[in-house]
Amino acid sequence: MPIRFTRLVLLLALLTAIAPVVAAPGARIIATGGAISVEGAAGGGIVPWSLLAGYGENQQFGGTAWYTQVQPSDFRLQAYGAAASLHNRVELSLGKQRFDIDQVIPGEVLEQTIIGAKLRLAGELIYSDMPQLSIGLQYKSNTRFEIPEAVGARDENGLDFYIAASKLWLDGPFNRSFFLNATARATKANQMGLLGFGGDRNNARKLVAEISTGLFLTRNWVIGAEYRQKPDNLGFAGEDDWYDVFIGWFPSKRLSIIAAWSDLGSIAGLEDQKGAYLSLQFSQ
Amino acid sequence: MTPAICRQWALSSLIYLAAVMVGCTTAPDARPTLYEQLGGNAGVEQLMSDFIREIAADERIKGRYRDSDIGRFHRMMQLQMCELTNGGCRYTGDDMRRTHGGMNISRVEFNAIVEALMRAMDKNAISQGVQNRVLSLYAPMHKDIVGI
Repeated sequence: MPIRFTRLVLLLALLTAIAPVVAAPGARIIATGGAISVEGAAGGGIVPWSLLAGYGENQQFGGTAWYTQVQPSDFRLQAYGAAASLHNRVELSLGKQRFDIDQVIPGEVLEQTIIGAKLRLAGELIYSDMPQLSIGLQYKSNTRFEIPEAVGARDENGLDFYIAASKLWLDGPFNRSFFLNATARATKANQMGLLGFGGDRNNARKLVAEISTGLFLTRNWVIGAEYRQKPDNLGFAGEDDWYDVFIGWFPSKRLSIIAAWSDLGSIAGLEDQKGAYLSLQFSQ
Repeated sequence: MTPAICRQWALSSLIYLAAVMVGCTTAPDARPTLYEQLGGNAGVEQLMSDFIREIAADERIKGRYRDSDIGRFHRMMQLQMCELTNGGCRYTGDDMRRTHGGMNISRVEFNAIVEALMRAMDKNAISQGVQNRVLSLYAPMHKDIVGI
């Protein structure tokens, strides 16, 4: 584990320790803030959901600070950031990704910064018959564009739009609470944007589907799976859809830990990228 | 299927159908009601006592009950739970919309009540499955309680 990771664990532990002296977490039911996905928006691991970060309800502020590491066979993704929500209505997020491609080009990394905004339009995850509906956008800025450009990417910046619907059925299969989220996204991003935006094969926004499900074994433990469709814009190497299966632990509203196994397919010409995903999240 | 087996199958189906129609297969349902799984009368009474204690300990909501007749509130919550969980009672209190009309209950307060019920159920060692069934009966009341 790199030093940065250890430091972050210590920071989270410290935040958890001092939490009781700052404001109590928001009023929403435990785990209803989901996690923060690798792009910085509240969601699962790889899919933004219609949920808003943290536990804030009306008249409350909510938020989550997070660190995530993914270790596919030949690469390493480190991502971190923070998201804040106001009145369970609006979410603003900032995320940073660093993707180690040492196996392809020794010493090189890809990087991007993602600024996100999300607006809850209608519905309430648990209490309304209709699903909770949100729209969002993610402005992504690739800060190491030389390599993406060299392999055919057209833009160093990109804008994703999405609409997401989430619903939790309290009394689902096996009398367990069942969660479902469906997201439709318009994007030009290559490997989320780490390889830039648009390409020689296609340079228009594509509409992709993303799906997540979860089953709460208890209020504090959830297992689930995700699927994320991806564009395939670059001629130099194919890009595959992503999958993961996850387990989430929410010991309190303050802290959650998500572990997953992800299948990221082919990345930059290296096939069959599978590996562990681990995320630490500190919420308000 | 040979014709003989086919005839036998048809015959037994007919016998079964006739039996269903005259009601001779309607053995008493052995599955306990949700009310029974909550411990029946005594269980629900204890659960509601703990629920009220949890409410009274929660700064976000306890003020709402300052002028309430707690004895009546306890009885009515018990009756409502009994009716919702097929305990064979009839809830005689006002409906949720009337009870909460004009109070402008916030989403924060509603969630606080849900959490109070969760803690009370935890305290009474009610299984997660039964808790989920109970909560799913109360969740739809959100629209008749919040913001009216």
